[in-house]
Parts: sequence; structure tokens; C-alpha cells
Amino acid sequence: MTVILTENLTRSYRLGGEDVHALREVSLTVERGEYVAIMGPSGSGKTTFMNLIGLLDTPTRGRYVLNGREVSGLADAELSDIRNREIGFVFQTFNLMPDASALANVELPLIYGRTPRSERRARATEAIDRVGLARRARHRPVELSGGERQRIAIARALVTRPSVILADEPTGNLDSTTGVEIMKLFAELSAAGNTILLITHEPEIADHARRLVRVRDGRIESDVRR
Amino acid sequence: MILEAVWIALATMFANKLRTLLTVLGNIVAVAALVLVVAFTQGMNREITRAILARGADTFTVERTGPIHSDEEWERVKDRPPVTLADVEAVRRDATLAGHVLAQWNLDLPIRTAKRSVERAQVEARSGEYVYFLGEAVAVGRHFTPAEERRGVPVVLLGSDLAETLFPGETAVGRTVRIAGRHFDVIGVMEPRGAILGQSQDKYAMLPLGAALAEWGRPWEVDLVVKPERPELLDVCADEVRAVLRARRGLRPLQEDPFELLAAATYLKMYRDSSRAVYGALIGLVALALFVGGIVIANVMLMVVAQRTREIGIRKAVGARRTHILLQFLVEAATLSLVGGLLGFGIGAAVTGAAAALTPISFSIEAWSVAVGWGMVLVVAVLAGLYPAARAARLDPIVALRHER
Ligand SMILES: Nc1ncnc2c1ncn2[C@@H]1O[C@H](COP(=O)(O)OP(=O)(O)O)[C@@H](O)[C@H]1O
Ligand SMILES: [Mg+2]
Repeated sequence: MTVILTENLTRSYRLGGEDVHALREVSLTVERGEYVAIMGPSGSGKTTFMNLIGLLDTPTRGRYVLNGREVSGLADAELSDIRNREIGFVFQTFNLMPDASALANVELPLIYGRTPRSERRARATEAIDRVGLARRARHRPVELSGGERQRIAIARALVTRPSVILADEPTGNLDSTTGVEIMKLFAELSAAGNTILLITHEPEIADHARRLVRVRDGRIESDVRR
Repeated sequence: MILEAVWIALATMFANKLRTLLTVLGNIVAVAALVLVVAFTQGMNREITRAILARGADTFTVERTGPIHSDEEWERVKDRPPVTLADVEAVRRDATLAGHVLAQWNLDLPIRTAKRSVERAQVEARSGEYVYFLGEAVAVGRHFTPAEERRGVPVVLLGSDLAETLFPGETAVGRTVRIAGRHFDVIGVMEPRGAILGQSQDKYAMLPLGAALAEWGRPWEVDLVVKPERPELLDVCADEVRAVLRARRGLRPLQEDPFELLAAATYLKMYRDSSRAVYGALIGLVALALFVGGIVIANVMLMVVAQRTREIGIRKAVGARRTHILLQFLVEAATLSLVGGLLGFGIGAAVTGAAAALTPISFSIEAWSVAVGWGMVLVVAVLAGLYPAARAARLDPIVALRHER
């Protein structure tokens, strides 16, 4: 079953009277359960693509079908709801709420998904358990190490059981040992059936994925399944 | 979600107590001023209305002069002839629409019992129809009758405070007092009238005018109060009384009245006009405080939105709609504003309580002033929060997520 289908997806910015083509006519299909690594030089359009897939941004041109539903042109409320249900983000800089506990951070998507309070608590706890941080649930982000913070962010991405997890250089701010552990976690999540799109610079990290998409100058350069 | 926003707001406010206090100062001032000034004016209203209506709403008095505001006015009226008992007789005889006519001679006289004395008691010598003009009833005992008044029977009714001073803890009725050396039997004690501006209105003695005339000669001037046969005849009756008095003073048609007719309604209107001016000033002050307070709250909310840009991005990334963000910041602004209102009410109530305890004026906190205060504060909250909240809601999530803290 196809989770993501893009056709000629294009995103341009207008900068000082000139068009910057961040993404040019990208067509890509991702099936359920796939683990896709996206590589490319800095400025090649990886993050732009990820933001479009994650419905944080809207394309200048092209089509985007998520789980069989055409999502280009939907209004904010619907986009937000789909983002809430179908997408799990993991960022390079973690992006946790600094004043909230790990548990509260993980609960946040469930709040916007109107999950009842009791179920919310149970599911957040389960997700934190899944990333191996049950004992850190009450800690605030500043009290956690970088690796632990990223695990909490992953738990937050998992908690809504999204159709796809989008990770933009998730190990970019971590030392290599911690990075390897995080990548092991992604491998486990993939093995458990999650669909994952992961942006990275490092070839050895890309090796975890069974499919490698290379991007250059806003275009797909190569797309290899292994 | 709303509850969450309230908690966030309260936690932020608690963490920055001083900033919060300064932020909501406008609201504090507005609500405190509203509660305090309304409590003051309503308290005054109640006392003064009661005082004005003491002789009944549907009566009017005849006085040599009205309220005097300047020296020129005094120069103009100081030579007017007094209102005398003869005037009262004439009104009683010739003003056919006057249902009841009261003559009252006010004296300051010493009152003694065997054990106690009051050197200058307020003695009101009243004509026999006085019961029609009383605002209060007899608490213990009875009134004197018109017949007793005419015959000059030496009886007296005491105001509640005077009774307590002369006969502390005892029954006054049935005892005897000496007023300026003459014996009077106490036949009644009056219900309390209360206090005006802290002055007890119950330190008086009330006795038959006939007895006073027999004992202390004729008064130079008396209070003349007229109650028309029916309330709707007040104006016609007043004209009739004016005609009677003008005839007695031999005035030509164009000469002005050398006396004033003052209805309770006139006094009430005069008083209400002046309290309206107080309310006008209050509205100005409250509006200014609210306006300034609203601007400060709006600014602080803009600052808060800027500080929390990254957080807004995170919330959007995990599925918050624009309306969720809008609501969150509106609720924060409202919480801020309402806490300001609450502090304002607390301060207003505390100052009111302190003023009531330390000054003779009675204050009365009005529920409506509290309700209006909170309503205003809510309106300010929404108006002040709307722009910052809309800014937050419109933030591009990508830009917000890139925002450096
Ligand atoms: N908001 C923006 N305004 C203008 N240009 C942008 C904006 N965002 C990205 N770009 C440009 O689009 C191109 C792709 O950026 P990005 O997707 O962030 O690349 P990557 O993530 O692969 O490093 C870059 O040239 C970048 O400068
Ligand atoms: Mg990038």
C-alpha cells in the first residue's frame, strides 16, 4: 500500500526578485513499511522536501497524495489534523518544549488529537517505554542528555501511531556513539513495521535503510533499493 | 486544551511575579477604583437618601433660605423674614390641599436624670400631626396625641442613643427626665434612624410643641413641613402654600418669594446630580486605566509570543491548528487580565473595608460593580490578546521552528 506519492512536486522561493528553486519536480512513491534514507549535499532541498511531506509547507506546484488522499490545497485545520494523525517528526535540534516534562512532551500530540486524558497518559508512557526512557519520564529536557532528548522526541513522533516518521538529520547534534544508538532505534522501529523517511549526511547511517534516495539541486539524482 | 493554556499562563505569571504585577497594573487600578468609588457613592447614596426622605417622600418644607453656595447669595437672603408659627397657622387654615401640616421648633437644652445628664441635647418640639411625617416608628411605648400636644402635657419620646445615654441598660419608658429644669415623663423610645457620615441621628428628644410653648415662650423661627392630601397634588399644594405666605408678607406680583419651598424630590435630584458627576469622573479614570492596561497587556503578549515562537512551531508540527494557538494566547491574555481584575477587586475591597473601619462614612460594595469590573477586564483581555494571538496563530511553522531562542 502506498503511503506517500508525489508528482512533480516543486517548491520555489522568491528572494529579492529572483526565484530560488529549492525543489524541482520531484516524483517519489513510498510504500508502507519502507525505510528510506535521503542523502544529498547541503542546500540540495532535502529539508524542503521533508517539510512538504510533513505538511508544514505547501508546494508551489505538483501533487501530493498521502494515504490515497490528495492533500495539496487543504485548509489549515485539515492539514493540522492530518499532520497530527499521520506524521511523526524527529528534528536535528530535538524541538522539545523546555518547560514540560518528558511525559508531557510526548503527550502533546495526543492533546491536539483529542485523546481522552487517561488513554493519553497510558499511550505516552508506552511510547516512552518503547524508546527505553521509562525512568526519565518526569524529567525536563534540560535534565536529559542529547541522546535521551532525541529518544523523547522519537517517542513523541511514535505516540500517535503515524503513517510515516520523518527524521531530518536526527543524529546531527549527537556524538557518534549516541548516533549509532539512535540509528539502532530507528532500525528497530522499521523492523516493527513503521514507515520511515530519514535525512542524513553520513553514508554509514544511510546503510541502515533499505532504500537510498540521492538528491542534488532540488532533483532526485538516484533512487536505489537494496 | 483551554485548561492547559490557563495552567501555562498561571505558571508563567507566577514565575515572573513582578512583571505580571506591572503588566496588570492598569486592570488593578481600574477594578479597584471602580469597586471603591461605587462602594463609597452607594454608601453615601443610601445614607443621604434616607436622610432626605426622613420626613417622607411626598412632603415639602418651607424654609427662609435654600442651600447657600456663596456670599452674594447670603447677602441676598439674609434679611428675609423668618417662617413663624403664625405662618403655620395661616397655612393650616388657608391651604386647602394641605393634608397635614407640621410645625417643629428645634432647641438645644440640657436633659437630666437623677444620675446622668446631657448638656446640649437636640430637642424637637413638634405639633400634633407629627406622626404623619416620621420616617421611623416607636420602638417601645407610644406617641403623644394631638390632644396632649394642644394641652401641653409634659411627655417626651427619646431617640434610641439618647435613651441609652440617660438610662444605660435600663428601660427608659415610664421614667422621668428634667429638660431645662422641667419634668417630662418618658412615654416612648424611637427606632434608630442610623448615622449620617458617622453622626448619630438618634441623640434627640421629641416633645409636644404645646408643652415647649408653655415653658419656653415663642420661637423666632420654626420648621414648616407640608404633606399634600394626595402625593400627586404636591405641585398645586406648593403653589397654594406659596400664595398664602406671599399674602401674609404683602408682596407685589413680581417680587420674588422671600422663602424657599423644597420638596424631598428636589433635594434628591440635587444630590443625584452631584453623584452623577462623581460617576462621570470615575468612568473617565476607569476607562483610562483600562486603556493603558490593555496596551501594556497587548505589548507583553507580543513579547511572550516572540519568546515562544519556537514553542509555537513545535505545537504546529505536532498538529495544533491555528485556532488552537489563537485560543491558547487569548486564554493566556484573559487569565492575565482576570488575575489583574481579581487583584484589583481584592485591593478595592480591602481599601473599602479599611475606609469603612477608619472613617465615619459607610461603604457598600456593590455586586454590580464587581461584575462590571470583571466584564471590562475580560473585554480588555480579548482586545489586548487578539492581535498578539493572531500573530502567533499566523506564524509559519517552518520559520517558527528555525527560530533561535
Ligand atoms: N525560506 C526560504 N527562503 C528562501 N530560500 C530557501 C528557504 N528555505 C530554503 N531555501 C533554499 O532552498 C534550498 C534548499 O534548502 P533545504 O531544503 O534547507 O536544503 P537541505 O535541507 O538539503 O540542506 C537552499 O538553497 C535554501 O537556501
Ligand atoms: Mg536540511
